[in-house]
Amino acid sequence: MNCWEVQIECLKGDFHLQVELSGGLRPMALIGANGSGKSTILRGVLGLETLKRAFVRVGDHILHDSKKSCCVPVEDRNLAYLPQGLGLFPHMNVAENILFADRSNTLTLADLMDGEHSTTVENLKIKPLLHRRPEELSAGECQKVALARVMIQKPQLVLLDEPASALDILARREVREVLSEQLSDLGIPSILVTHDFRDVRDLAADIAYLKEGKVEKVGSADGFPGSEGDEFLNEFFAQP
Amino acid sequence: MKSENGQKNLLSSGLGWILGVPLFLILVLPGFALVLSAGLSRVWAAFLDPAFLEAAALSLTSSMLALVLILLSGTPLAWWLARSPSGLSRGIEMILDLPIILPPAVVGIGLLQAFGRSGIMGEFLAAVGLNLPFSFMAVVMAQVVIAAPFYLRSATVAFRNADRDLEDVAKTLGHSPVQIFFRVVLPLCRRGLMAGALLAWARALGEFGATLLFAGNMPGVTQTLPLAIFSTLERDVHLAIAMSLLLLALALLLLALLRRFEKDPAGGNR
Repeated sequence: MNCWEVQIECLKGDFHLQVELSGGLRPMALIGANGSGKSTILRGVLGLETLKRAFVRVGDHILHDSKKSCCVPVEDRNLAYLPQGLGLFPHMNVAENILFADRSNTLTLADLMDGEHSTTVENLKIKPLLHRRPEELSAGECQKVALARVMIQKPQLVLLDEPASALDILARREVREVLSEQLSDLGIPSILVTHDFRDVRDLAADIAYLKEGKVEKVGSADGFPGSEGDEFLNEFFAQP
Repeated sequence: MKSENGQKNLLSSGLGWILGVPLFLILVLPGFALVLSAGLSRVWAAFLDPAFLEAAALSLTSSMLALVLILLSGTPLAWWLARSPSGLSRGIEMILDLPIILPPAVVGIGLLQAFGRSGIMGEFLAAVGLNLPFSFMAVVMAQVVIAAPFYLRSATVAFRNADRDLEDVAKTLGHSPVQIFFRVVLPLCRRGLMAGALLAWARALGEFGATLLFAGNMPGVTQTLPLAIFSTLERDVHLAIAMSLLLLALALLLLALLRRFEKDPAGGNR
């Protein structure tokens, strides 16, 4: 059985999005021109978008089924969201950012320092950063903090919306390296929106190519079916 | 004088200086004059004058109370103005700005027509035994009406510019809207909110016209510092100067604080 499946239909003015996607543990990269509906899909899965029709299943949980008028609210979906800039709270230090994901509100700094979650913090090598503010961290360090927060949250699915797009090229590489090392270790399926072929390659992600609100093609990165003749795909795969 | 790229600008022509300097002087001279004309011993004596203390206490309590009311009611209102998808909120936002442009005397008359004995709320207020005009509450109300738009503007902009992605992330982390408002939105917008609160407080402290018409000028009841300055000027110049100096000092303090908060109006969004 697939780890997740998504059927979404959404109308926004002239724009009509209608997609069916599913995936396993391997990350799924959504690619396509701006306005093709990539972010709308992510937001739809998260429950942040008003959808005309939807069926969203993650693991054993049905999060949205418009036929049965069932729609789990955002805060109860337990999905992790890493938007542009990674969504770290600038007014909280690293430890507070990580602990903000603790629903039971019982974890403390001590649990991160030497308690049950200290291995998370140690494996990511962010223990010395716990008292710093996000603005004092490098891009790669921010990515690690965001991932540590994901690990505390223990979500069923991780959704990344161009997490590194606002960064310069070196910082992007740092983020990509952290992601490719850690995301597979998490053992949690993920969907990411990206404009960068290197993200797809380094994460060994499957690709779903979106065009004008429809899924045009799905496949793995090597020999993505029939990219000839499509200007966007040619350009996408021509990236170093 | 040459600008950075070596080109001559308006100032270098001399004409710019001749036109610009008078405005500069007329803006700063009154403040200097106040400080210079104040004889230290006489000002000190004035500071201990009961009339001064009474007006200062009234000004501080009424403006603080006005500020608390503005924050309590203005924060949710600004939130609605910033986030409501309806076009209605834009229209209302414009109407709420009106007291900024309106002469305070007009606001005073408006308050009388609304809450005065023969005003539209008059009968109701009389029935519940409330007599607002020419009372301490009238002072506070005049200050609220005049000052609130400054807070509303600043808070609305701050809420509108706050990073929505961060609110979305907080939702996905399982937090309720109320928790998100207090733990994410308010801290993110704190600079904009503080700047608005300071501006509103400064405006409330200086309120004169609307207070005079709606609350009157009764020492110990409705006479705030600006009204007291107006009343004392004929009787005791030094007392009036002492009162002015206190307001000047408060204004300078507020200005310094405002600069700190206005550097980054959206506050912490990096």
